[in-house]
Amino acid sequence: MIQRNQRIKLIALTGILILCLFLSIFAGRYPELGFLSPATLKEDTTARNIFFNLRIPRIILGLLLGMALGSSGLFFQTVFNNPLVDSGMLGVTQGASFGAAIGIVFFHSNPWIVQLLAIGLGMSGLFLSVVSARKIHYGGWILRLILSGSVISALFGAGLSLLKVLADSRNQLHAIEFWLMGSLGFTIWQGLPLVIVITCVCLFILWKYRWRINLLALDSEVASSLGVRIRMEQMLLMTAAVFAVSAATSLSGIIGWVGLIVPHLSRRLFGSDTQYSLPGSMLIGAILILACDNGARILSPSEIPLGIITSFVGVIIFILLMGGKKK
Amino acid sequence: MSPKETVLELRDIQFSYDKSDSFSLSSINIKMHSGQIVVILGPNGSGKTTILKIANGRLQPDSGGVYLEGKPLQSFSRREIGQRIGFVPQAEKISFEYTNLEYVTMGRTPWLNPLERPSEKDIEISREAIREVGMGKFMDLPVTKLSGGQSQLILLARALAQETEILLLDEATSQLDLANKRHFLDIVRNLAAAGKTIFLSTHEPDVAAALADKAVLMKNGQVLIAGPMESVFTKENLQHIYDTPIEIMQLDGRKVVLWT
Repeated sequence: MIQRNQRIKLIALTGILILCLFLSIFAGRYPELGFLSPATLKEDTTARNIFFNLRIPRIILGLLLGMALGSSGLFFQTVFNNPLVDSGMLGVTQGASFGAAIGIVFFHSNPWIVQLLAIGLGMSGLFLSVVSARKIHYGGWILRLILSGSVISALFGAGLSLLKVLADSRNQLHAIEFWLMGSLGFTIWQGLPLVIVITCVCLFILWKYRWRINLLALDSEVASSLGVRIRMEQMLLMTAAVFAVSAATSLSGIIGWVGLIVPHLSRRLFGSDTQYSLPGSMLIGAILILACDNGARILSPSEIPLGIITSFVGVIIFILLMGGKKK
Repeated sequence: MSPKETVLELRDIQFSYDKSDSFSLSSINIKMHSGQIVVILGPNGSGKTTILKIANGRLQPDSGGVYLEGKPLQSFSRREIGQRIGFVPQAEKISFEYTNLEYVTMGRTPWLNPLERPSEKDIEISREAIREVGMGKFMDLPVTKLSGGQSQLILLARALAQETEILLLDEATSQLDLANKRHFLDIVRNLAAAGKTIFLSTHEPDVAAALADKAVLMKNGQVLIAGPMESVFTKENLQHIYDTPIEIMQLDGRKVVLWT
């Protein structure tokens, strides 16, 4: 009975997502504000160009980005047994930002290099956090991870600040700032296939483990007594979650608040069981990103960076959720 | 399995957390057979929890070994141990509002493949476990809303859903009120009567008096004495481990411990 209700909710969300996808594909500002008709698409080569080379890749990236941010946020909240964390823990966000800034300052914003450095240094944030957590002789494993994660974040943050000082203030600094705000506006096919492959594999792993992620919320003592090889499963899923987000954000830049807020919405809808709240988080994340990005594209002629919109929307949802809880 | 066969044995265990640490366990020898209730009794910090962690393979002893069904514990995989030994902690902190049923269903984990999800049958076993501890009314209530005592009953239910032959209970009665403690002890007795092996640690002599077939009295990481209840549970022994004056009274054939 409960299972049937949960499935119906998931199907309903999938329906909303498909609706959002259609809206994203056909709504826009070309040739004028409104919907692109199939007839225009047939006749107008510019329309076709926009459609296939700008809109489609942009929507694919938005879809993957939303799914990655939503599911990895839920995963990290569950593993850290703390509803106030997201994938930005463990030095990943700061690492990716630092990597992108290196690409912008030293490699003339070459898109391939920026992307690879963002993924590489994002992952190295995870790696360094785990390595230094092993060296700490204090507290439990999770506490050590959080502690070393914030230290590594601070390290990359300092590096980022240094690069901002070194950056040419007319072009490079602007590019860095824009990357930090996050946007889907620069998405083209270049670099996207790599992101699609990485993100899809990682999301598939998380989805396959959707029930078992619950067990990582338990005390390690208990999870282990239930036959879970905690360190191994934790590392596998953590790598998948971080890799998915690093890959997607390597093209979009930092998108704030989605990873934090989406899991809350999903738990409100599906309860805490990650068997349902994880797929729920993927769907809600994608819906939120696509809806916000439609806003970014359509509302004003000069595009507002997506990261700014998601932060506004995220904060409003957060306040509504927290306010609603007492009733 | 015949009732007198040893199912779990701790043999010549030596253990210390850290070379510089003053705490260590030495010469721990405990044998348990099926249907038996073995209680480790000792003051806080005497090493009870450490022994339970060694017994389910979470901590490796410096020397000596744990034997499960006659074979070294290391020869079993983590999952195989989970199918044989259940663990009930004193408490568990959870930040998410899992329903009691979802929470107890996690006890089915060792019986599932890594990518398998609980079936209808697993959920039914978990429901039955919740009813067995008398929490049937709270099936869909969040675990975060339970009192300390109710949580301990749900933790026991999760271990029951795990369907293991051996149960380790770590101070698992510490927060129960009178009625629930009685209920809890009844369940444990019934489990033993059904052939399960119970290994329970407690700092409360009354719990030991009410349950144990065999008691292990501990102080500062040493076993003071271990053996059948009648010979071990004496005024002198209890006074020695607790460092405080104690009287044992007989009431309707039951031993009652008083401190004076």
